[in-house]
Amino acid sequence: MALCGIVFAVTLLTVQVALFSGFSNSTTLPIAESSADVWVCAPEMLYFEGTLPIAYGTVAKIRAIPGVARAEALSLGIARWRSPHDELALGRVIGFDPRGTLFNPGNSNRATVDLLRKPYAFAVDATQLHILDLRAGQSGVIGTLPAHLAYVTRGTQPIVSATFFYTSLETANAYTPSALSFFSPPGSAPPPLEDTDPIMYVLVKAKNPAASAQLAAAIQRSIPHVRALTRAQMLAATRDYWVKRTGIGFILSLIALMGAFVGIVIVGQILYTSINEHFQEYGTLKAIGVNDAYLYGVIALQATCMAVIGYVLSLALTFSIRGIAAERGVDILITPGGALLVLAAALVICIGAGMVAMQRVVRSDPALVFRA
Amino acid sequence: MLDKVAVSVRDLRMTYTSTKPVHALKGVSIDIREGEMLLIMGPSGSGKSTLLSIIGGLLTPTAGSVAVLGSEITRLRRKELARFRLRNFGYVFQGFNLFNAMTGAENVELAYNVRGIRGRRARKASRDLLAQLGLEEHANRPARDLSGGEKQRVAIARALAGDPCAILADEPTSQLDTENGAIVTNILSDLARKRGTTIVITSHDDRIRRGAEHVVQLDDGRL
Ligand SMILES: Nc1ncnc2c1ncn2[C@@H]1O[C@H](COP(=O)(O)OP(=O)(O)OP(=O)(O)O)[C@@H](O)[C@H]1O
Ligand SMILES: [Mg+2]
Repeated sequence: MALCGIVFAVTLLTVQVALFSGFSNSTTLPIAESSADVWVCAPEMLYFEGTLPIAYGTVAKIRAIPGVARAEALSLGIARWRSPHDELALGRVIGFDPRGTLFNPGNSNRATVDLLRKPYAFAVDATQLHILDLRAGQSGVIGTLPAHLAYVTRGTQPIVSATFFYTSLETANAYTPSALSFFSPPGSAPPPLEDTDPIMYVLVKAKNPAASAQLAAAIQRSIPHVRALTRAQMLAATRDYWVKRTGIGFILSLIALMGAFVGIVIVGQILYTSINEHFQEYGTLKAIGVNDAYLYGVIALQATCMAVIGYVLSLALTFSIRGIAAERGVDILITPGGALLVLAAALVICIGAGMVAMQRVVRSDPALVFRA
Repeated sequence: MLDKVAVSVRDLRMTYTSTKPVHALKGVSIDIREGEMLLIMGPSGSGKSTLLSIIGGLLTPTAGSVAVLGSEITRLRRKELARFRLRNFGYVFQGFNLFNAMTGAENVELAYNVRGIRGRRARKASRDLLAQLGLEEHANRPARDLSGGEKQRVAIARALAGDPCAILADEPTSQLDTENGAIVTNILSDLARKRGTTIVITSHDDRIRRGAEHVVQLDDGRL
């Protein structure tokens, strides 16, 4: 019974910490997936999706800079999706070079990624299929153009973002609702990008990845009106945006904090009850003349056992919840750091609550402990 | 028999204030000699447990003094008082207060352990004590499976573990039948006679009178 409550409280905390790490991790998925050392974008860039276009021509200019091993374009656009059954959904088209090596959602193999070289083919995360009202092999419409599902990825969709449609740069450019794509005749392949076409990022592989900061600085010096960030800076900018600038990070930390509070109250209550149940025993020990440290030691040992058992059980529980959440595209991420944090919190909460609950035994005269 | 005073109680007053004030002791004075067995009689609610608790350092009185072997215990701090109890007193309770999940022997060993005697020494000492009280074959049974009389004898063994100068027993026989009550009373009076341990017992049971050499009557907080 007591253990049930502790498992509940610790699970609450574990899930919330894991949700927070899952969320924070999820926001940066597209960046983490890329093997680029440097990200080049518009100076106004706030976070991955919050940026302004730059010209496709920038890619060629960057390739000419010494120290650059590879440079590939990445584009982002809005997609209006219509399913085979005329269900509507709003998403994001992410255009990349399927022949390239710097962006590959879900780390699919070469042959799979090559499927995107076909016009109007796209890949999407498995969790999005029900939103898109779509099954493998089916097709829908993006804007006015056909969209064939080529393959499905796993663990690529940030929970905070609208559905990501991964396509080739050309297809992405055609999907982006500009005047040109509107008039493109049905059935024809989308044209290659021109230097003035909009893209969002240039992904850069450095010849010497250890010197990516210097390369970023060099790129920023030689090309006007762009910002070049190292991978770490790009990750930090996006994570910070979601965790710090939006309410979501605040809400999740608040909920985690509430979880901790609820945990403290529940565990405190449980240990308090348990001490009350054993009042006679503690009173007897006290009457015999054991010192305060002994009493605290007894409760600390009991609390530690409870915390550790509760922790192990709740980790198991969280892992099972994780499976259910993953089907819905919510990542419950149990990082070693997070797991350690929760264990520490469980220990502190249990031992702390035990100490506080023990106060009443320690402070009062043994004779009064008996009568209580 | 020595005539030294073991416990000297002077004008002891106790008022419980947790709810409406209850004057449980209204000025009690008594001397308890070393090695004597004192029996405190009185009806329910007369203040027997209160008096015994204060003498045993389990309760802080409202006023008055208790000197044990010449040291004033009402002025000791919590920590010092705990150490004083550990060194000088053994307690026997009406409800036995054994640790039921432990065996009889383990209950006694615990009393040695908290006094810093551990391992094999504690095991041997506790077995010897239990054997003296005729409990050798019950030593390894969980306390919860023992009869009332056996439990109370284990409790006495536990009280003796610290080789205390005084044993305080609050109604030690009230949950026992006549035969077991007599066994327990005899053990306690033997302790007083043979070991010179000071024994203070409370009871409202007249049958216990026989073993006691010194009987006082407490009525409504006064002797
Ligand atoms: N912790 C307490 N708070 C308030 N009143 C108390 C407390 N302990 C005892 N009393 C009261 O003090 C009086 C004396 O109680 P005490 O337990 O000392 O009597 P007793 O002679 O031991 O009775 P019994 O034979 O029933 O054990 C009683 O009126 C009791 O209700
Ligand atoms: Mg009483």
